[in-house]
Amino acid sequence: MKDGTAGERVLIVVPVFNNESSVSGVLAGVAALGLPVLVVDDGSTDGSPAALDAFPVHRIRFPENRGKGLAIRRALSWAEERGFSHIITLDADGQHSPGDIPRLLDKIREAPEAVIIGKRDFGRGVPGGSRFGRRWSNLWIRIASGVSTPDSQSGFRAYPVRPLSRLKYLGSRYEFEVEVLVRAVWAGLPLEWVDVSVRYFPPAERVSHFRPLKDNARISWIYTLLVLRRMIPFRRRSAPPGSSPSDSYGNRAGHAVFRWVIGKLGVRPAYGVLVPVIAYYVLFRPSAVRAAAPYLRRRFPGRGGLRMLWPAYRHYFAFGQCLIDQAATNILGREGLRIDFPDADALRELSEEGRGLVLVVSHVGVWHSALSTLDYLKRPVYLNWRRERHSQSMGLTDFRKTGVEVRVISPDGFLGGIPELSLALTHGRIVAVMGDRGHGSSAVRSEVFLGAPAGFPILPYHLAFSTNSDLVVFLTARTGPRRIFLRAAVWRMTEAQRELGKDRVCRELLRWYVGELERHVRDHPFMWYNFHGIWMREEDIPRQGRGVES
Amino acid sequence: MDLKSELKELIIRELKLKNVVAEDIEDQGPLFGSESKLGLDSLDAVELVVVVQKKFGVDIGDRNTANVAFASIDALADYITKNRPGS
Repeated sequence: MKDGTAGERVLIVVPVFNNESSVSGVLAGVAALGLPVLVVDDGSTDGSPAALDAFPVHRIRFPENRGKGLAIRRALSWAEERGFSHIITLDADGQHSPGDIPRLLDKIREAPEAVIIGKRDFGRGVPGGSRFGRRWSNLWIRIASGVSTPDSQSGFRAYPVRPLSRLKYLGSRYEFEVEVLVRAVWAGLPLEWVDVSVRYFPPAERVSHFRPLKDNARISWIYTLLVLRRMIPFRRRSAPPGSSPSDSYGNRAGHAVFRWVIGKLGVRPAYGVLVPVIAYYVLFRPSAVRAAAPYLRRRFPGRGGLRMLWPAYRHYFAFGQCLIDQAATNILGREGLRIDFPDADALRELSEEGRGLVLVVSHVGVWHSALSTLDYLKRPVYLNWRRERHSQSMGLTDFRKTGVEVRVISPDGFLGGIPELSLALTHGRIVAVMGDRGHGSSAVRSEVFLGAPAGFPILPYHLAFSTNSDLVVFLTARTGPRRIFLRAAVWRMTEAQRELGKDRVCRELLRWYVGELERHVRDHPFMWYNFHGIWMREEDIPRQGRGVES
Repeated sequence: MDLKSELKELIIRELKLKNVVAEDIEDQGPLFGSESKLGLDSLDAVELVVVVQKKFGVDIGDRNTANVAFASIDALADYITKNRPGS
């Protein structure tokens, strides 16, 4: 087996579907280069398989037509198993000239990490549908990845095998060829182009299976999914670690589109876009349902299997609406945001006493927006919170436009930021700490939540006790378009309580918080978005630190 | 009593350390983390911040200086000496 280049091992891949008349010519041209060849027969029903017999090629055959995208995906994994560094794909309909392959080989040598696209030189004689299709998918690529591509539909390409075979794809047919470009950009791979010749046949001779309307619709659909995929923080599966720069660019570009829609048309059309997308994820991405299941199973006991799909749909849909509302707050500011906050005055009175105040916040509703409404207290809020990448690109960390001054203290800092939080409290500041998710080192205590033991951080209560601060459980729910309900339950730290001792007070405060959270999710079952799993088996519960034993 | 001994007593009392006497605490050893013989955890930092402030009027907690001040008994004594009101 001869290598195509010095360091790279290149496999030529020819997907075939009913190309009896043209495939022999293509394979004869390829054979002249002396490179290993893999033909993926995508369920041909004509004489193509027989035509292949004349050539010394590797073959994979799908029993039925499954799509060009799947054919290439299969070829990628086949090539990876056998140690190829690159595959070069060309169509079996004869529109690509094997004589152009050396140009791609040269480019592979130059840029081994790149996806290389054979840019077709379109003269006259090119079908109009194809021209439109090219523009259409070029536009989508630009929206989703921020990269402009001169020819995103060309199937004449070189792919680096290793990075691409590790990505996950949605597309199985022609839409794969645009999807793979976006995912490659997201994963940090460069795109390169080389000019190739193209030959289109008069319609009668042409054997392409690209159906302009249907396949362009599929391309648009997959792009809507890809753009929205960036908005919804399920566990990230597609991008390998350390591939952030262009990935976050894709993120930003996708969100920019969404923000534009919200800014121009308001939130309701954006909710509409959620309907098919959430349905898609709930039906076809089991990981999405799995992420929500531990909570939903406990909140809706007795439901399982298919009967879990509807609550899962509603849960994610409500979550999507919350994200959209948050984005709207970032774009439109507080204007048009309706706030129901019956405890507002009580919280103000407490705040005016000027003692330290621990706000226990939770992953409920649009909690970022809720926090930003505390500007009426006219005091900065010190927030112990890890900025996640997805929330950053969503603009969730942008509290500036919303009035309240939030100073984020990262749990990744020295001792989890605890000295800074403690100091702020001794100076009578407001400190906000997550109550339903511990960070790294901070001690977790088991408490029964919705009937099962779950781990909750002890930090908020420990802070309140030791700095002699009051404690407020701050909960929120989205009750309508850009409408939020807020609740602040107050616990005054008195001398009498402090005499009970830290361990006992911390335990009681935690129990009280969990009760408040439980009550909140009973009233607003789809408003709790802790997908990180807090339920534990007793033996998983870490040994309590000295400070919290009683 | 010198400042370092005072700090050691304070830590033992405030953090309710059992089976530890002041003489066991090294001047240069780390206070926090797995390297530390004392084995203080991050939650213990709350008490330490509060007691240093109450007792000496010194603020420790700034993200740029807390790790220096809480590095060891030596470092803590040094930090308090330099930042005491009127010093």
